[in-house]
Amino acid sequence: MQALDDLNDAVDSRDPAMGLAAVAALRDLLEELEELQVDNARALGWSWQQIAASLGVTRQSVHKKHHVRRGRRRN
Amino acid sequence: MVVEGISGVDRCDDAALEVVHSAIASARGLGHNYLGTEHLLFGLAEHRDLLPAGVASMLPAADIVRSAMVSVLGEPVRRDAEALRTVGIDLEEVRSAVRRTFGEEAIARLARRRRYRAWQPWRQPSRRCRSLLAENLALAPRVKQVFEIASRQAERRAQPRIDPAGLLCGIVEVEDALANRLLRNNGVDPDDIRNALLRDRS
Repeated sequence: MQALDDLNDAVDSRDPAMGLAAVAALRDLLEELEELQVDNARALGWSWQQIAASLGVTRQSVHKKHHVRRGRRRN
Repeated sequence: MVVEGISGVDRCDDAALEVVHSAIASARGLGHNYLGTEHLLFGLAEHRDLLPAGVASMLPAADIVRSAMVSVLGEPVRRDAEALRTVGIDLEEVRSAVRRTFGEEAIARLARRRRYRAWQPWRQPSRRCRSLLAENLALAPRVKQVFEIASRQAERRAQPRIDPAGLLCGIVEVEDALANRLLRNNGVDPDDIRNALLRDRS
């Protein structure tokens, strides 16, 4: 596992390139998981209000972000 | 290989399939989650020996196409799986968890997702509509058009299958395809290619 060793080295050396890439990848992953969960909640009939409360944000911000994205499909 | 589901691929001959596979490989290599006309152009440039000689010489080299793609669409995507592992997240694990919870269909839907971006006309269009979790490629609408045009042309000339020249023909017919923009940026006029193809095939 040469690659894994390289990775460990990268972590040990506090390489900003890898660290920042990890943060960016995490953010992308987070977005995708959020989309999946929001879609699932809507499919189960949750209101935007309920979704917002569970996400810990305002109803408006959830609506703005996900309603537009989901707009062209069903509601 | 993940080419089933591309309508028209079943009508390709072996040479055209080779081009499609190379296009898919280049899309993967750039971290894109879709197959665009630009990737097809790369495939054709890489396998130019499959094209009629007069047309093949007009195409820019494969690595020029690749760097043109990079300059328009941005750098190849960083290796996310490795980066995530440095913070203790196994992407494969997350993927299978998502698959267990939401099913294969949800993953397929992610592959088609576009990242929402406010309309900002001063910005370059971003093609990085990829998904970390989905591995399969979505088909860009213009690629579908390319295959449609190519298969219609094959029918018209009573060819049983689509050949690489047919693919190239399809690309230059779809005016606003990114592939044509890349060609123009490299000083190749798609109309010249169309004429050369017509001359060669008539």
